[in-house]
Amino acid sequence: MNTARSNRILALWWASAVVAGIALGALARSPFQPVGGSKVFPRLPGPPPDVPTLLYLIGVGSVAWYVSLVAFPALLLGARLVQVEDGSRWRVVALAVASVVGLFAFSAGVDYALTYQGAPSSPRLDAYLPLAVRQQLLPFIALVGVVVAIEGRRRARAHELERERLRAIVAEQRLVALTTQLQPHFLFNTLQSISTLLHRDVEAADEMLAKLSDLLRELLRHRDRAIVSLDEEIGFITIFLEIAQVRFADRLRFSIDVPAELRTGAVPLFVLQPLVENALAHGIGRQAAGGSIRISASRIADRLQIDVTDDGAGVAESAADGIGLSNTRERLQAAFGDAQSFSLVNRAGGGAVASVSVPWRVAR
Amino acid sequence: MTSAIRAVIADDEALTRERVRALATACGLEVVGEARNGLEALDLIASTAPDLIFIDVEMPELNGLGVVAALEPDVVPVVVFITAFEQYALKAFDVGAIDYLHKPVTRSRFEASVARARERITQRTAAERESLVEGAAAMERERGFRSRFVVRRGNSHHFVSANEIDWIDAADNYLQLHSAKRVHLWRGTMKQAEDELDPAQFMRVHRSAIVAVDRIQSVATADGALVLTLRDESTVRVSRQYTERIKALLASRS
Repeated sequence: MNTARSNRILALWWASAVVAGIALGALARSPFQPVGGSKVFPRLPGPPPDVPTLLYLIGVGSVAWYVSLVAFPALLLGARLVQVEDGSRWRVVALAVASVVGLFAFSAGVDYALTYQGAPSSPRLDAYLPLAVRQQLLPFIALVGVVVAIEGRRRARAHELERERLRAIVAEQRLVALTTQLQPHFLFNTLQSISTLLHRDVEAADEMLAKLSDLLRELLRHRDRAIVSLDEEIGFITIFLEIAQVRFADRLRFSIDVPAELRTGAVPLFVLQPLVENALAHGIGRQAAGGSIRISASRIADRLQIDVTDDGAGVAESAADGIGLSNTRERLQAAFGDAQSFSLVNRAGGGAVASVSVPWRVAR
Repeated sequence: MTSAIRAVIADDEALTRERVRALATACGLEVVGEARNGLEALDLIASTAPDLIFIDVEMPELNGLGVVAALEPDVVPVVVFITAFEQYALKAFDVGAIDYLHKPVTRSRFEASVARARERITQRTAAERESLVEGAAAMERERGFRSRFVVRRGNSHHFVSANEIDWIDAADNYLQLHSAKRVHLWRGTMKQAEDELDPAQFMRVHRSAIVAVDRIQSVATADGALVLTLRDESTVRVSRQYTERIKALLASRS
């Protein structure tokens, strides 16, 4: 990407040189005879109607013109090397002013030397200076201004692209990391349950092993995806809850109430799992009589809202931000930025409800 | 060995408890009770004083480390952590637990663990018991400022949230946590409480007193010393050593 850009600048440089060469040739071959100075840097006696004179009138042929042509690509390249930290705008202003002054001093110096070369008498420098300022300062200010503008735009775009790229990488890595972080605890607890059941009820152990296999299949199927359809997520969470039902020794009941038309909606992979796990741990796990979990979804305007409701003991103030839930928050943030919201509140009738709201989008 | 080793099992998963109980019984241990969470585990340990506990590191509310950190130094059983996940197992060794068991727990691994525990139960010194509790407490500290205390009433344990505490003073080996005119006893030192509580919220004002900064109602001077009146109308003397700090604090608040 960077080399392509340097090539483009080099091409620009060559183009400038060619244009400069053509202008030079055109002037050299023109029949117009200047009053003083050389043919290349003519001085005008009156308004002649030919092309070279018109070119001269708009500055072609003046020293400032050539200096600008050569300096333009050099300034562009130089500007790219300037390090600008946030907030150091004065540095840019100072550099721009210095460039203008430098270009002007050089150009005016050359102009003075060339114009009065071999002339019987040359004006004093302080007499020449106001003239030079009138003729040459403005073009250089414009030139440096254009360079600053081009470089500023380039940097803004590069910055934006880079930020976008980093954001995508970070978001993806975080999603993958967070998703994988969720499973070990559950996995090994489930294996322990199977191990226990083997000694008590081989049929039940067998069934649980099959369910765990289903779960692992789902995990493997989705391992390289960060976003899935709500339907896939519900399928996953159903297996998860069935396993939990065995682990909680039938103290758990659950229901899933998600309309068919919402099942195409896009959600972060395994977004429901920590919510359900939280409901199990804080809601159902602590109740000797067990309890129930209900998963429901609704669409409100452009948003998809998913609720995980339990009828357990409710959440203590201190427990409202456990590890699983901060994980959920981060994953939602990584997938949807600020367009999502998450809440966990106690219900008036007992128990708690965890709600996730994301922009409605159809999953691929 | 004249009597069987008495063991307690603490895990929030019924099926894990079932398996561990079966294994423990097969090894000739006497399982004196099962706990489903950290507070229950503390209650059970206090009431049965077991020789050995098998405790799940990951439990809701108070986890296995929190339980060990809250043990009273005179009743510290040998600890075997049970863990679903490797990262906690390494930590378990850090705090001086005798062993750790991965889920699913196998018979051979369990038996080896019990053999090690058997050896240690007879040989353990008071210093080892203390360093176990201190190690767990240190790990709890790493997770940030203390947000609650586990206090004991008889054999039953409860949480007292740091936010509810008005002030703290020392009484023998305990601290008295004053919370809305009730007093909870917590085993620990002033130094420990001072180190573990959020300094933005609590301030030491005396060798034997810490106050919650936002509960200070008024300040008076008596015999050349500052006396704080708190929201619960109790008064706390500020010792000379802390006077400047209190003055600075009050100046910054007004």
